[in-house]
Amino acid sequence: MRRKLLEILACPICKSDLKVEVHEESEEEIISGKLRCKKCNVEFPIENGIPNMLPPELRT
Amino acid sequence: MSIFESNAERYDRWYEKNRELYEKELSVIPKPESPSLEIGVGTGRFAVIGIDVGVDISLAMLRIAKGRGVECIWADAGHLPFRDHVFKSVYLIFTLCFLNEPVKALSEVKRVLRDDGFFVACVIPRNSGLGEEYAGKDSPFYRVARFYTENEVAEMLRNTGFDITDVRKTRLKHSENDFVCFTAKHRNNRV
Repeated sequence: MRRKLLEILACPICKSDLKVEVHEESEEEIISGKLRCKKCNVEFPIENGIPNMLPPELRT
Repeated sequence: MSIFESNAERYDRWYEKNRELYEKELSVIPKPESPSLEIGVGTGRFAVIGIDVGVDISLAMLRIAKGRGVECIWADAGHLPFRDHVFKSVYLIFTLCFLNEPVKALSEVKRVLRDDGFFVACVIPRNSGLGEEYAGKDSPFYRVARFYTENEVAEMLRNTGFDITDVRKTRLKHSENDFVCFTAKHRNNRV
């Protein structure tokens, strides 16, 4: 995901702001890392450039 | 929604095999304005009209869409991971029939759509030739689909606080309303 996406992303559950932790980044995008909700503290992993923003109960 | 997860490539090949129908669909869909979002982006076959961001419940489909240059997010239509009022245009193309909770998804569309934004919902209505064909088809995709009539879609939009501003229809195979695109705006648009 491109860094610019952070400007519009929010927690899918409480819609609060997110904090990003980058593990791997290319010139174009964040390849891996995680997003964490500042309010409800739920973690959303980023893998292969795609953030998993599913609420935990919908993850398989 | 595992049906899409295990059939992503098969789903994507349909568009190659049915090139003529696919191009007709593309020609009817109103053009997006940035920033734009497609919910149920699938393999990105419609996002190629210029949609910026796509969400889908199937990761296998998203991987293909990402290869087509769409910014992809793995997310659920009823729990959109966006701030309020950020998109100028939001698209739901041939996706409504696959949603478990369509009203919840439409409420989320309303939340993420800017006051001056527009929402495009494209469907194959149950009351169309193609809708009848698909509803009776024994395919892994259509078995899980729930087709709505044009009136049902219009009512759903109105009930979630949208005003329909434009309706475009085209014949794909059987009838003049095989594929219908509704454009809608926030009711009492302040702009």
